[in-house]
Amino acid sequence: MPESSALTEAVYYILLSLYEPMHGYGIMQNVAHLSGDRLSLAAGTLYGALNTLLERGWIEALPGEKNSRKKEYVITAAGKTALQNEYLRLQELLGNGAKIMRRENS
Amino acid sequence: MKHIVRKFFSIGAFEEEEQWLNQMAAKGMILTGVGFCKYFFEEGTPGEYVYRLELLKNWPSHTESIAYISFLEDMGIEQVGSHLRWVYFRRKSTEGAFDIFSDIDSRISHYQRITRFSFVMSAMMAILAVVFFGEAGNFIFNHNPWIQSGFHDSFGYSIIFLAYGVMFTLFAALFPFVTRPIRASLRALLRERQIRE
Repeated sequence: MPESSALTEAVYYILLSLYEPMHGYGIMQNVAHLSGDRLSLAAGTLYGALNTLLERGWIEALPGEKNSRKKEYVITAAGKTALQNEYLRLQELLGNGAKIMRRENS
Repeated sequence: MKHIVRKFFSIGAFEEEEQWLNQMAAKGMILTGVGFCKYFFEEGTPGEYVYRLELLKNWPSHTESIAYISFLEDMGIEQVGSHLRWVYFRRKSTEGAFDIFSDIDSRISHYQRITRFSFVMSAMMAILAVVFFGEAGNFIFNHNPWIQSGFHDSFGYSIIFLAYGVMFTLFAALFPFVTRPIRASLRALLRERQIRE
């Protein structure tokens, strides 16, 4: 996938959440909180996204305690770069939206 | 009180199956296990659970499936039973609406998993049909020395092989037929994805 293409909403919020190490359930709650309960990540979708992000090296699993099944994840440098590119892309979308829609409304 | 209900849902009707299990749960009939066309219920609190079905990528005993299922368990999702690669999940309704997939992409890939599974099953049935028709043809057209023991024998065998061939042809045709609703939903989602996530 080219770097210029958009991230999904779920991936964007997962990456944002993982600036702090978190396990799956924590990510789900944090995404709901960040989006004001608009976005509720379903467990299967979250699992798929986490695995894809791990493969891509945008997040990594923390070496947890042996008995703990709950893996914690954290964003990597590559993940932060991807998120920053997405942030710039969203800014462009917002800026253009604001310019044209404001002209229309005024 | 335990109840066993026998009911058949095709691979293309898993959403109807889900709906039925949720209607049963709403009445206080809680699914506790599954078998082939068999459902085990226990009486419990009406509306306590929401049920969802998923066709896993691998068999439920595969390491990847085990990792996935334990991930879901951490999210308060319980595995009630499984049949082939199908797994029956439930979650307490107090936790809110329960879905396994929350975006178009993951729903698409689940539907695709089902259509692929159905295609593989259908192809296997078609191969068996070809094999049996071939055998029947052998008996009818090729008078090999080893089947020269008598016309009646070979005729009887060819009829049996022919019958098996017809049966497997029907099975091969059944899979694409019953998965039509899945393919329709899949097409709708693929169209939807062209304009939104």
